[in-house]
Amino acid sequence: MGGSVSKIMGKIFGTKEMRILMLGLDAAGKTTILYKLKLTNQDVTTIPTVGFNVESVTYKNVKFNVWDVGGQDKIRPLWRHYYSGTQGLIFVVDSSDTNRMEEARSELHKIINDREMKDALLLVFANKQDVPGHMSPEDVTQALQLTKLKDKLWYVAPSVATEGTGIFEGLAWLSNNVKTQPQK
Amino acid sequence: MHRLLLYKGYVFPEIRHEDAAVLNPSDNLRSAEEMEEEEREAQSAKLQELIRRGTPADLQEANRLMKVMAGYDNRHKTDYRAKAAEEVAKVQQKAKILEEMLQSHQPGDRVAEGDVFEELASALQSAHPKIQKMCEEESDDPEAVQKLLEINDSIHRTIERYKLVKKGDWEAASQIPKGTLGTTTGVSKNANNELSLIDFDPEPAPNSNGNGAAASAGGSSLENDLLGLSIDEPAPARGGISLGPAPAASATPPITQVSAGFRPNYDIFASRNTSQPSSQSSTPAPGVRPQSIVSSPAAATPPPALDPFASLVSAGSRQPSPLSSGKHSGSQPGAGSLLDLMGSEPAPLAISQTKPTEEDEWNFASSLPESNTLPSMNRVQVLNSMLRIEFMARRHPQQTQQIHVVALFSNSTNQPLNELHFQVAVEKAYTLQLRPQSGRDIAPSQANGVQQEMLVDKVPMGKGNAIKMRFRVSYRVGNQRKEEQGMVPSLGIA
Repeated sequence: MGGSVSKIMGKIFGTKEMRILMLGLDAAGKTTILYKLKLTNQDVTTIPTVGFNVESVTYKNVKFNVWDVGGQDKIRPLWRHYYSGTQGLIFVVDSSDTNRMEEARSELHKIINDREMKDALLLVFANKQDVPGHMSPEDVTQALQLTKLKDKLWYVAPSVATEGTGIFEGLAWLSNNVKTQPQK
Repeated sequence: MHRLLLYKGYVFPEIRHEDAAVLNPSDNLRSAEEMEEEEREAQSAKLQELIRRGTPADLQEANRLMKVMAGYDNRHKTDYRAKAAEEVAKVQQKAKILEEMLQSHQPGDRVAEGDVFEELASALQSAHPKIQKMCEEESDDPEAVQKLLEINDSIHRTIERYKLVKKGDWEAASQIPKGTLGTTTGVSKNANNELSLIDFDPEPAPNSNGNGAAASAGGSSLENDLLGLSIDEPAPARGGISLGPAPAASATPPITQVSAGFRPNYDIFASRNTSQPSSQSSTPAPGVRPQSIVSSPAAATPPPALDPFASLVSAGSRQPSPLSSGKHSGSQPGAGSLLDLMGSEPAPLAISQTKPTEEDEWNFASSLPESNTLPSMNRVQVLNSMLRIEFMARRHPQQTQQIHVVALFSNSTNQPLNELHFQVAVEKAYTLQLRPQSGRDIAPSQANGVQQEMLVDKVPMGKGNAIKMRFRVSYRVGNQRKEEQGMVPSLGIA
């Protein structure tokens, strides 16, 4: 009941709700991004996520429900349980971790090849742009072989999660590209 | 559909129940992997549902479930191999019962349709391919495979016999080596269909070991009689046996009982094994006794953590006759004994008692006290560094739910140890009360300089060894601050 009222309100005032799934290898910065979005202007310290975190962030009239699932290899098989209903995938990569870029690529392709993720937008955060020796967003695009993707809307945003730079730009891209009334 | 086709005049071939049994879902036998798979699937489905519902409580539960699924939380993990072993033991039990029934079955009796016979046989038949599959899965553990194969063989023989008996082919049925379970008896050279040949042999050695002798049912002994064979030395024993499946052990049991009663370590298999030699004492050549299996360990040492499958064959197959072993397990359920073995706890006391069922027949039975398999008092070392910590755990008989622990702190350095601060935690299911530490300083090399009493509550009898405790301790030696933590080892009490 309450839900339907807010839906109608949403139609009238143009607020949208988006289910966002944030994945990536361990120590890429997913949880930091999540809490930097939630608690702007606060310092965030995180520990490795065992399980998941979920927060809603409202930005530019869009309510983002962001699910941040742990990235350790033991948890990765459980990612698929979070796919259903996802409208946007945020894939976070550690741009300074060149050794694991290939691993990140294979995980990313596994996710977006899943049937349930075929309609989801893909936002890649090339994170840790402050670390010396990092890869540029273009290099990350190359390494993740994003240009190979067909029928997929994707965007690579550079970010420094600890300082909060770049992350809201990423969200803006998501809100601009989400279909006006998502499947329901 | 079936009826419709019948109506149209189709003729269906008659379905043989025995063959169809293979199609039945074998709900009673699943391998370790299958059970694990099943649980994983159930957990996945649950996680998915929790995420879909998305209420805060559900999400919390989902988070917890993820920890379990990802393997970070192993506290509630089931040992599926042990479970599978348990299941196999159940099948083994069924085979035993069927074999027993077949042996007491007289020629001429009809096997009724839909009888217990049939039920058991079909259960065994459907278990058969499963055991073979388990053999493959366990291929990294040759011992387990060997045992599974033995069980498989014996089940196969039992099924064959059942089929023949059902057809009324008694001759052929008695050709199949008897001896229900496990051991090599059934298939070795002294299988009973060779008995009569061996009798010609002056050397009495291999002609009967426990199973063969006990199992020599009507057919072959009758043959012996008809042939007018003079029966040599070991014969008297066999003469008695051939009438029925009763064990031959009539002469010696009291002795065994005594020896079993005073062994210092009583794990149940030990008591079973001790009963064995005497019941087999009628066997002329005890060397023939099948000993291929790991049995219970030496009396004085507590049993090591055994492979769950290791107990399968020793769990009761090495009884002189299927009949008496059947009775054994009647009083001592197989499952329980398996678990005991798994727990690998030194058992303090096993009451081994004899039950004289008939005048000259002794059946050994054992019955362990429910949970009192561990001492009610034990001392374990918790930490051994500059600071030594020992736990003296004990149960007071009048407080059944409570464990009383005294922690003893000793200084193993030759400097004074100060500012001792000891913390301890138990699982949430239990409650912990701490009495104050008797002090915070221990003199150089002083033993038991500080002690602290603790009471762990809500621990039912038998669970004492399963409590998980963690500790953390900080102290200062000279100018050096130290902090240590870890798990408290099993308390080793009931």
